[in-house]
Order: sequence, then structure tokens, then C-alpha cells
Amino acid sequence: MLNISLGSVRIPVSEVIDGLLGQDLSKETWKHILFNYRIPKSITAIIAGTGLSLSGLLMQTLFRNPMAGPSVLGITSGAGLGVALLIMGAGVFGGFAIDGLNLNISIIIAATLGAFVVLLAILFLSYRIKNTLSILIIGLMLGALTTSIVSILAYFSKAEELQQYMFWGFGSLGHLSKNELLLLSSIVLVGMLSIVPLLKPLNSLLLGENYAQNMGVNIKRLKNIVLIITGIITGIITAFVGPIAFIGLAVPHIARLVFNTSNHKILVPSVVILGAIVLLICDSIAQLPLSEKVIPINAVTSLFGAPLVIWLLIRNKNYRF
Amino acid sequence: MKSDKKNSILTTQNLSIGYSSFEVAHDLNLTAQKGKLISIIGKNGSGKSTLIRTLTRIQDPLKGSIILGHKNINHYKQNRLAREFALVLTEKLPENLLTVSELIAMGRQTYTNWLDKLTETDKEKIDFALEMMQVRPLLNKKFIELSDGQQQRVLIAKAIAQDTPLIYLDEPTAHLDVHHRMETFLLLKELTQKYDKTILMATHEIGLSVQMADELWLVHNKAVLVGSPEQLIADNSLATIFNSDLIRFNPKTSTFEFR
Repeated sequence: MLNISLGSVRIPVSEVIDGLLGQDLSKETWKHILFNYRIPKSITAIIAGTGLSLSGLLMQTLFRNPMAGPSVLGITSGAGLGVALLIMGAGVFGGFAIDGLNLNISIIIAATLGAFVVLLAILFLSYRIKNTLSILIIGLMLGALTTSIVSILAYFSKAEELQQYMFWGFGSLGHLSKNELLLLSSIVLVGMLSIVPLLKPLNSLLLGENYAQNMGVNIKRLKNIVLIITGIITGIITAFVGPIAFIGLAVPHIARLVFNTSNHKILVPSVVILGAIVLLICDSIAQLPLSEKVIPINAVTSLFGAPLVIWLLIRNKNYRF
Repeated sequence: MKSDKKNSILTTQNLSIGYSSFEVAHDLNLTAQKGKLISIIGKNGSGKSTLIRTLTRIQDPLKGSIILGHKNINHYKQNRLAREFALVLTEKLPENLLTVSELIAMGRQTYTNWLDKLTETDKEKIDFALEMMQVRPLLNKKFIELSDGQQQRVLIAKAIAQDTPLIYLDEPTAHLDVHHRMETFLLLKELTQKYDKTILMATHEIGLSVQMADELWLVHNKAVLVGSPEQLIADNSLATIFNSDLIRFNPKTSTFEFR
């Protein structure tokens, strides 16, 4: 509610509730803003927050590494490379210019393609490698690789193009059309639902791969399913809203610290709820209440998320990942 | 070794184990009988753990095959294999916040439905394991907060809850005090005698194994010597393997002493 009411045009919370209940609002423009901007933006925040947090949780469990997050597989960087090639590559290699209207859609397509190329590379390589930790390192390497290509592109591109790419990199929850939102939510929802049957094997994985196998888990299959689900969720969210940092890494830790458990039957639902709440709060802060300015969401997530995790860790000294 | 085919639960045929760079043991033709307590004994680095890792499909054999029940071990689906044998490893568990009750319940995962809901049978099997290993008072504690000995007993309880005909243990008494060491051997013996389980364990407890085990598998010089403790003492095998210029085996007390 609060998240919806805040923004460069302020709408009172009571009016927001009225609007959501289907009643007429005192200003017609408020209704327009509410339904065309604020509500879609809040839904985007919820979807992105839960999706990224869940991906982070899956990555941390799969690699048994507290530093893992959705970005470690290089999928986020892959999406970045796609966008960079689209925006800056056109200038460097010559070729076509894209007008403003199609740019949004082109960026989404380019980012999705970039993310999936990296995902396919990882799946292909993981098929040939038995050691799970090697996959993590390969993901980091692919991320470094794509990032460096982006820097080279950036060095040779024009200032406006660079600026355009930077804007995408800040992340933005607020520019999705209704159809785009529908597409994003349905893909992420399907991904999230397919995690439910994984709760049991994910718990076994907490004991290490040897014990998990002895409990009947087919490690190779589980690994592939987790890679595909997180790859798709992360890739599609990054494509639509930009590379939102930190949420995927931090929220699983917040959930473990708050609920003091490693059990995925408790962690997955709490990560879903916390992920949504944290990104909504971040978005509300990004609106800079009482002012007309909006700061990039990516700046907020780390600025407020990092101290939160540090504070929780200091309070709970017995934290085990 | 002569074996009654009907009673064997595990056989290996010309099994060679090890790594691509070096062979740990070769041409093993071993048979484990139902309801036996078998101690796998050998020096550090002789290949006890490699043998267990191969028999449990953690590691591929270099050559040969392993027959479990009447089927080649490679033909089992992972989830079915989990009902054939349970496992207690020496490796430390990755750190996590699981409670003892969550962990022991995981022993039932191969039987539970996709939401991992415990049925009455599951709860009975868990209760049995809790009583057997006397870990009920620890149920609500975090596994990570337990002492090494308590952790070991919880892991054995999890293996018992899995309710498999065969249990593999890799140095199950490594972290236990003398009381719990002897008690664990007694409990394992009871499992084989009363409940007809087969137990294969790698251990350094030669004295206890001589007293309690039905059979010893001595891993030495890339081969496995099989026999009852009495046989292996009588034909000097135990002595030959471990004797050095420092220690010698005393068959009367079945312990080692300084020369």
C-alpha cells in the first residue's frame, strides 16, 4: 500500500485503498497513475524480489556456498552483454539504429538472448564436469569474460550509448507494460512452482552430495534442474528490470537468520515473502518520499541491504550457513 | 570363501578399485552374508575407504562388478538403492542449521512422498532408531551444536531409521569415548543378530572387532583377506599385516603391544 502511494506524484494511502477496492478516486489522474504505473510497478517489485531471492537460495544450497547468488553463474552478466551489444555494438560495428519506441522490447530480447547463451554454455560445461564447485568457478569466469567484453565495447562507444547502457544497469521496476508484466510474472511463477518438488532433495543436499545420494537423490538431475530454473528466472528478470544486485545474495541469509533454520520447507516460503517485502521497501525508498526525484533501485538495494545483513550477523553470532 | 548363495546379500566379481592413476586393490571376489557383522581392517591408506566408496557407488570401480541382492549395483535407480543400504561416512557434514530431528527424519526420505510427509511407519522406524542410539534427548538441538560423539550417534541413528538390510559405516567409533565405542559395537552386533541386518564397517578397532565381528576383511597388499577373527589370528594374518619393528600382535589378548 505504502509502496503504491509513494512516488513523484503522491496519492494518499486511503485513496489507494479505495482505488484497489474499485471505488472512484477524487482525481481521475490518480486513478490513471495508480493502475497504469504504481500497481504494475509494485507487482514487478514483488515478482523480481521473490524470483531473485529464490534463485539465490537455490544457488547457495546447490553450491553449498554462502557467497553464491543468482549473479554468480554469469547469467546476469550475459544479459548485460546482450544489452551492451545492442546499444553500444550498433555504434562500434556500424549498422542499424533503433528508435525509442522499440528500444524497450529490443533490450528485453537482447538481454534474454544474452542470459540464455550463458545458461546454455554452463549447462553444456556442467554436463562434462562432475565437480559442483567447478561449475561455480566456471560461472564466475564466464561472468568475468562477458563483463570484460562489455568494458571493451564501452571504451569504443559514444557517450550517449554508454549512458543508455548505464541506465539499464541501474535497474528499473517501473517501465513494464501490462503484457510484459504478464509474461514476466507467468514465467517466474512457473519457475517458482517447479521448485516445490525440489524441497526434499534440496534438504538432503544440506548433508553433502554423498549423503544426499544415499538418501535417494539423483544429484546430476537435481543439479541440471536447479541450473535451468535459476537460469530462466534470473535471466528473464534481469532482461525485464535490469541487473538488480544484492537481493538474491542477501535475502536467503536474512531468512536463515530470522527463522534460524536450514530447512527448505520453511526457507522457501519465507524467502518468497521476504524477497517481495525487501524489494518493495527498497523501491519505496528509491522513490524518495516527499520529493519528486527517483534514485536507481540498484543503488538502494545494496545501500540498505548490506547494513541489514551485517546487523543481523552481529546479533546472531552462532549463524551457520 | 565358501558361500551359501541364498544367504549372500553382496558379492563382488573380479572387482578392481582405485583411481585412474593407481590401483588400490584388484580382483576382489568378496561375499557378505546376511546378518553378519563384518569389520574391514587395514592400515591407513590401505584402501578401506576406497572399498566402501566403491561398494556404495560413490566411486566407480576400475573393473569388475558389484552384485547387491540379485542385481548389479549399476542397474539400481538412485532412489531404490537408498532402500538397499544406508551409509555413515567419516567426512564432516557441511555446516547448517538442521536440528537432530530434521536430520534423522531424512533417513526416511527414500520412502516419503514428494512433500516428504512422514507416515506412521516412518515415525515408528524413527522412534526405533532414537531408542536404539539413545539420542531422543538431543532431538530439538541443532546438529552442529552437538559433540563429535553425539553427532556420530545421530548419524548412526539416521542410518538405522533408513531401515535397509545393509549398513555401511566408515570408522563409526572414531570420535567416541571408550564407553560409547564398546556400546556402539554392542548395538551394531544386536542389529545383526536380532534384526538380521548386515553391517560392513571400516574400523581401526582391532581388539573390539576380534571380540565382536563375525568376519574380518583385511585389506592389505592390494588384496582382501577374509576370515573369522579366530582363523585370521591362528594363521598369523593379523600379525603379519600390522607387525613392525615397533609393535607386535599378542594373540592371547588380541591387542598390540610394544616389542
